[in-house]
Amino acid sequence: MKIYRFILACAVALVAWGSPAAAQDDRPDARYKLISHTITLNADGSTDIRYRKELTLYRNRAITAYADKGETFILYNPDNEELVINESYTLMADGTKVTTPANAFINQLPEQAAHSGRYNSIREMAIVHTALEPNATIVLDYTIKRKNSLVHKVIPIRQDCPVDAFNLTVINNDPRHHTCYLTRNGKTEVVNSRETLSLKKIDENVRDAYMPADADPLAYVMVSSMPQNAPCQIAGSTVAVPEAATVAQDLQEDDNVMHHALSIRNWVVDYIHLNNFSFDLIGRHYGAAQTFKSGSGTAMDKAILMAAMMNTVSIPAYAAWFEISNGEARESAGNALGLAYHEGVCFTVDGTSYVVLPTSKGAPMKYVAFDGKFSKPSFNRQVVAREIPFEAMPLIGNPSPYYRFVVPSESGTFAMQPALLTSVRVAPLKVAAHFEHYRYTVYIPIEMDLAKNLRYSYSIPGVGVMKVSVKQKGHKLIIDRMIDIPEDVVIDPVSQKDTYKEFRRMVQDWEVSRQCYIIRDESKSDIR
Amino acid sequence: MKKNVLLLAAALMCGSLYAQEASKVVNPYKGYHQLVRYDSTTVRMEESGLSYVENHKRVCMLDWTGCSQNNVITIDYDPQSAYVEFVEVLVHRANGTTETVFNDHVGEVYDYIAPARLIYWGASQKMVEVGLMQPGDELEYRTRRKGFTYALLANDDDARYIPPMKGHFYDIVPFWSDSPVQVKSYVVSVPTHKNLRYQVYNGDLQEEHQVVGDRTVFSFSKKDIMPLKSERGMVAHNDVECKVLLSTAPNWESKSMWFYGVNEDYGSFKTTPAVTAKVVELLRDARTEQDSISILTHWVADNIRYAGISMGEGEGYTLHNATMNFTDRCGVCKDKAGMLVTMLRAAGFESYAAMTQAGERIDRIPADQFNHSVCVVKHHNGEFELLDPTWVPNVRELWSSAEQQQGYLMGLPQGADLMETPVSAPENHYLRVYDTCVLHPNGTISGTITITAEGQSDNAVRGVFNARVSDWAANLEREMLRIDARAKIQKVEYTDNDRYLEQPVSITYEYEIPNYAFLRKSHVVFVPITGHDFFRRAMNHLNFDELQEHRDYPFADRCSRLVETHDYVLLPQRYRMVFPHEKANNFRDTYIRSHRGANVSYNCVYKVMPDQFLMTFDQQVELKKRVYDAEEWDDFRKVVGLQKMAAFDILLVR
Repeated sequence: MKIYRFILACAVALVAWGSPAAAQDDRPDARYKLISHTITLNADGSTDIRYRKELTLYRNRAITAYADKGETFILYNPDNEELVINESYTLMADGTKVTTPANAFINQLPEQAAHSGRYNSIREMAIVHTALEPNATIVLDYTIKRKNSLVHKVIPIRQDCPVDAFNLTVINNDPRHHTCYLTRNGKTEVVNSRETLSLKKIDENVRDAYMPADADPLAYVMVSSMPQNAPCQIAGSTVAVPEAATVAQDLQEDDNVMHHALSIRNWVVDYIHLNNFSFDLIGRHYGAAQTFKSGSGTAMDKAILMAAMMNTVSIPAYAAWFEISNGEARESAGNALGLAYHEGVCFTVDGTSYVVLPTSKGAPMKYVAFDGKFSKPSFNRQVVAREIPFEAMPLIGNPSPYYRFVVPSESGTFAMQPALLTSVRVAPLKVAAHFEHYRYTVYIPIEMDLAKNLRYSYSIPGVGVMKVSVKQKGHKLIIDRMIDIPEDVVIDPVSQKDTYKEFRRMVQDWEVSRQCYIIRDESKSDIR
Repeated sequence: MKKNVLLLAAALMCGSLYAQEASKVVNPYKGYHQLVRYDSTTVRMEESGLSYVENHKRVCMLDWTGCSQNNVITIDYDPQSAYVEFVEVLVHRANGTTETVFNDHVGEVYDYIAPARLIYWGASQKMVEVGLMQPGDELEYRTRRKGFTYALLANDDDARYIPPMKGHFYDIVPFWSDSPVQVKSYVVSVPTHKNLRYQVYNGDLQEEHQVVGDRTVFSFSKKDIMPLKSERGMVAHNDVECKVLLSTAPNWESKSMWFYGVNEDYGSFKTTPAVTAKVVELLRDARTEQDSISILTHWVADNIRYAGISMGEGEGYTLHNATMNFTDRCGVCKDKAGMLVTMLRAAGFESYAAMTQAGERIDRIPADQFNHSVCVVKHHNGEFELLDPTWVPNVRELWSSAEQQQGYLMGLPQGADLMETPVSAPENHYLRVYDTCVLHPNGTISGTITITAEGQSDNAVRGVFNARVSDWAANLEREMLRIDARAKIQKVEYTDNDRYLEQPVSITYEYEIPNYAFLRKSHVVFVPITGHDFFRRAMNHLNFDELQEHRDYPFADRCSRLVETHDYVLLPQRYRMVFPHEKANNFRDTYIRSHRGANVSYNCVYKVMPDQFLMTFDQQVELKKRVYDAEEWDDFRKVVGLQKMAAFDILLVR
C-alpha cells in the first residue's frame, strides 16, 4: 500500500513536471567535402604550398564565430613568402555564390608576434567568411609562394568534423638538389618526384580525457625538406654571451650547480616572451644576444639564450631538438617534427646530462643520446608508512554517532578522476606507469570505532594491480593503499571492453576507498 | 604654449618627486612589478570637438616581471579617426646613464593592424621595442594623439578626426591603476562656452579650473595611487575606484538624439526587397505582436553571427545597413541590433537602436560609457521592450537577464534619458531538480532524476549540448558521474536542443548507484541525490567562496535565480532522523534549515515518514537579483554555505 502510494506520487509529480521530447537531429556540425594540400618544390629553389577546402556547415554551432568555422587564419612571412588567394566564396543553401568581400580580408599582426620587433613583419591573414547559413558551403583556395625550399610541416588529416576527401600531393621538381620526406605513422619516405596521399570518408576526431598522443594513425602527416638521421645541435648556442653574464651570475643562490641551472631556466621561461612560430616560417634562429636584448624570441631562440647563459657561468649546455617520453629527452634529428618533439637545452652537472625546456618549468629530464633508447619506467617501490592525524567530519545529524574520515591526498599520488571515465567512451585511454604504496596509522579516540572494514582488490591483466584495506586494530586504523601499474598502457575501450570496464571500476574504488565511517559509542565515552 | 607650460609644470613636479624617491627604499611597493613615477595627460579641445592629447609617463621597473611587461610599448588607435605618434622614448638606466630608444633621429616605430578576434575593423597599433630593461631602470616616454575613438570622415586632413558628435568632447579618466602611481594628472583646456561638465566618482582628486582668455583649463591630479585589492566576483573597477567623467554634451537626451540621427542619416534601418521578403517569410505563422517580435529577434540572434568586418567610414558608432548585414550574415552587436531594427520596421513596428554598458555602471555625466548596442521595440500599448539579439542566441529570452541592473540609452527622435534595465524575477530563471528513488537494502540507490530550467538557467543547463553531437552522451554522463563516479545510467532523455524555443530544457536520467549508502542494522548514512550540486554549471552562486567573511565592494552573480530541488526516497526500512544539537535519542520527523535576507533566501526541509518508509528532501534557493551591495554579502554567503551543506551525509536511525 505504501509502495503504491509512493509510486502514485512519483507518477503525478512526473506528469506535473513534464517529460522530455525526443528526436534530435544528430548530424555533425559541419563536413569537409574536400581538403587538399599540394606542396611543390620548384627547380628554381622556391616552394608553392597550395591549400583548398570546401566546408559545408549544417548546424548553427558551426556557423557562430565561437565555433571557429566562420573564419580562416593564414600565417605567413611576407619577408619570404607571398600569399595569393586563388578564390574565396560561399555557396549559400540555394546555390547562390557570394564572393568574400574585400573588407573581409584583414592582414593583421599575429598575436604571437606581439612583444617583438624582429618578428613584426609576420602577418596573419584573417578571412571572415560571409553569407553563412545552414547548408552553406565555404570554399577557400590559396597558395603561399615561398622563396626557398625549406618545408617542415605537420598537416592534420582528421578534423573535428567528418572529411569526405583528403588529398595531399608532394611534388619535387628537382630531386637532385632538394630532398623531401613524407612521414606517416612513423614511416618516412623520400619523395623522388611525386607522392600522393588520397583518403576518403574520414570520421571526425574523438576527444576525451586521458587520451594518448599520436595514437590515431590519421592524426597527421608530415612533410619536411630538412636533413634527417643526424643529431642537430643548434649552431651558436654554446657561445657565452657577455650581455647576459651578470644576470646569469646573479641567479646563483647557493653552491648547488643544479639549482643555478634551473634558476637560469626559470628566468628564461618567465621573462623572455615566447614568439610561437615554426622554424620553416622564420627560416632561421636568432643568437642569444638578440633574444636577451629584445626580451622575446621563438622557443629555439629562448633555448639558445638559455644555453648561452648557462655557458656563461661554466655550466656546459647546448640547444637542440628533443623527443620526450616519460621524463626522458632524446636528442633528435633536425627534421624531427611532431607532437612529441620540443626545443630544449641539454646541460651537464657533475658529469650527468639533463634536458630542460625553455617554455615550461618541469623537472629536469634525463638526457638520452641521439642513437639511444628510452628506458622503461622504474619506480622507487618503497612502502611509505606514516601516522596521520584523525580529523573526521561529523554528519548532519550531529551529535550523531557517525563521522566521515577521509584519507588526505598525497602529492604525486594516482590522480585519474573517475568522473572523467565515462561508460560510453570510444577514445583510447592512456594509463601512465605508476607505483605507490602507503600504510597509514591513524589513532582514533577511545570511544570511536571503524564502522566497517574495507577491502578492495583488483588485478587487471596487462594493466596492473590495486589493493586497499582499511581495518581497526585497537585504537588504531590501519590503512593500506597500493597501486602498481608497471608500464604505460593504452586501453582501447572498444576492443578491450572488459578491461576498460574493470579498470574504470578500479579507479572508482580507489577514490571511494579514501573515505570511511567512524562510529562513536557513547557508553565507551562514559567509561572513560 | 599653455599646454607646454602645463606639461612642463607636471614634469617638474614629477621630476622632483622622482629625485626624492631615488634616495628612498621603495618598501611600500614591495610585491609590485612596476612603479609609475608620473602619468601626465594634457588635452586641448578645439571648437570642432577635435582634441589634441599629449601624454608623458615615467615608469620604474621594480623587478624582472616589470621589465618583461615593458619590453615593448604600444598605442592603440583607429587610423580612420585618430592620429598617434611617439615623440620620445628614453630609458634611464639604474647606473645613471640615459639611452634614447626613439626620437626624431633614432629608433623605429612599428605600425600595423593589431591582432584581433571577432572584431576585424583594422584597429591598429604603433609600437616601439624598448628591449629588456633591468630592475631599477626607468622608462620615460611621450606620445601625441589627435582625434577621437570614432569619427565621421571628411575631406581635409584634420576633419577626419573630428568626433561624430560634432563640437562635443567627452572623456573617461580612471584615477586608478594596476600598479602603484606616484602622481597622475589630467589637464584639459576647452573653449569656455562649451560648458564642460565633470564629476569625480569614488574618491577625491585635487581639482582646479582657471579661465584663460576664452578658454577654461580644468586640472585634476592625484598622488600615491595604490592598486585596489580585488575581490573575486566584484563589480568593475570603474564602478568603485576613483575616476573623473567629463562631457560637453548637455544631457543624455542630446546624446540620445544624436545616436538616433546618425543612424537614420546613414540609412542603417532602410529595408531592402530581400529583407522584407525574409520578414514576410518568417512571420507567416506569427499570431501576436509578441510572436513577431520573438521570431525576428531570435532569427537575428541565431543567423547573424558575431564577427565584425569594417564598413569603412563611420565604423564603430554607425550601425551597418540592411544590405551589408543581410548579405554578410555577420556583424558585431550594433550590426545585429541594426538588422533587428530594420526587420522590425519592415514588419510594421516602431523600433530604435539603443546603447548600453555590459558589466559596468553608467554614471550620470553623459560621457560615452557604452560598450554594447541593443534595440528597443514599441508595443501597441506604447511601452518599449528591450531586445538584445547579441546575447540571446540559444537563450529563451528576448532581453538577456544577464544584463539586468544595467544602464541603457535609447536612440529616440525626441531624445531619452538614461534608464536602468529591470531586475528579472528569480522564477524567470528557475532550475528544478526532481528525484524519485529507491534505497535498496544493500545500499544501492536507483531512480529517476529530472532537471528542467528556464531563462538564463535553461541556457546554462543546455551548456552540455554546446559541443559536437557526438560528445553529448559523454557530457551528459559526466554530470551524473560528478554526483558519484559509480553511477550507471540506464537511460537519458532530453528535449530537442535545436528547437530550444519550443520548450524549456528538460533532461531525465534513469540511474543506479551501487553501494551509494552506508547501511548498518540500525542506521543508514547517505546524501540525498539532490543534495549534490547536480548541474552545478547552472548555479554560479556556488562558485563564490562563502568562507570569505567580509567584502568591501559590491559583487555580481551571473543572473537572478531560483533553485528548487525535490527528493523522494523510498527507504528499505522504517527510519527516523537524528537532528543537530539534540540528543541522539531525540527523534523528530522534520528538520528545517533556512536563512532569509532581503534579496536572498535558503530553505530546506528533511522529512521522514516512517510509516511510509519514505524520506523527502526539499530545497529552495532564491537569489533575487544580479548585482548585490557589499552589505548583502553576509546573507548571500550564508545561503551559499547552507546549500553546500546539503551535500553532507545525513543519518537515519531505525
